[in-house]
Amino acid sequence: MRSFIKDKFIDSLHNGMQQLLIIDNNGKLLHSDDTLFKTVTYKDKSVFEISVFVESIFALLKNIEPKEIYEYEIESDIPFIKGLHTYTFQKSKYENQEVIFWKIRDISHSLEEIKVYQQKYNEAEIERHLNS
Amino acid sequence: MISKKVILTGSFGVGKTSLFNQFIFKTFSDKYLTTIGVKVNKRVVTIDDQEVSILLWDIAGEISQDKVPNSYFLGASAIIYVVDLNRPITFQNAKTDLDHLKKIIPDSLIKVVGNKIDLIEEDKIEDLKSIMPVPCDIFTSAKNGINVEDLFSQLASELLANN
Repeated sequence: MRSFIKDKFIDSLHNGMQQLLIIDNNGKLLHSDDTLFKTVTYKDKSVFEISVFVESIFALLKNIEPKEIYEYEIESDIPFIKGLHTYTFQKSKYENQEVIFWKIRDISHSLEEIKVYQQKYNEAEIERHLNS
Repeated sequence: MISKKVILTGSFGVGKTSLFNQFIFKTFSDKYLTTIGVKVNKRVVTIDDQEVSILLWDIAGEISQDKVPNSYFLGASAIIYVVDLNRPITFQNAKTDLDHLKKIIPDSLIKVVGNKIDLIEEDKIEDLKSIMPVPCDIFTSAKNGINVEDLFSQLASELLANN
């Protein structure tokens, strides 16, 4: 099941729009290209106000190694965007300071197909378990 | 206030999203809808005047936990491993799964939750306990809300004690 989703996910990497946000080691938003949603009201504020997900893993993100990339598939927790997204995190440098690059890629166009497939698979398996 | 990442995990269809919705929103739906990827939300629990912000992850169900990327579990203070009491197949991997999780996140609290207690007749509970490879810490019903608050209150108390 995951291999089907992975294939769809890889397909979507060629199609989905993406936004780059740059955050400092305290979680403050330094920059965003605002491709998916506008962040003007969050400039210099904590990204925890935008995403509970980022808040939940920030202690981990602060300590990732420069070459490490952390990637997650998320049903959006950001109020302004709906659907399925990947969040990718990587340490980098910006204006002479160590920062975290947070890339949000919209893969919602794959969501319905993945959901239909997974729903059917899971329902069939649950039915089989209950009848066995 | 302290914040703690807590993960709901287990096989598909065991009621992880229903527990998530019951705890966060106090809602329940009979309709089964599969989860894709991860859903995250938070709620503050107060224990003896101390607040704990539970940052709750609801992960798409997998039959075996080694199918979930290890990075999803990193940084978790607690794992809620959910089984469906009405489908014994969902607890047949419990021991292997829990051993796997203890290797990735050795310092995390782990709670094993037997969900859908509302579907089990009272005289069948002892039989179920006897065939479980690992004992459940608590039995819940996300549908009726039975023990859902207790589960998270107990967890919050232990997280505070370990802090």
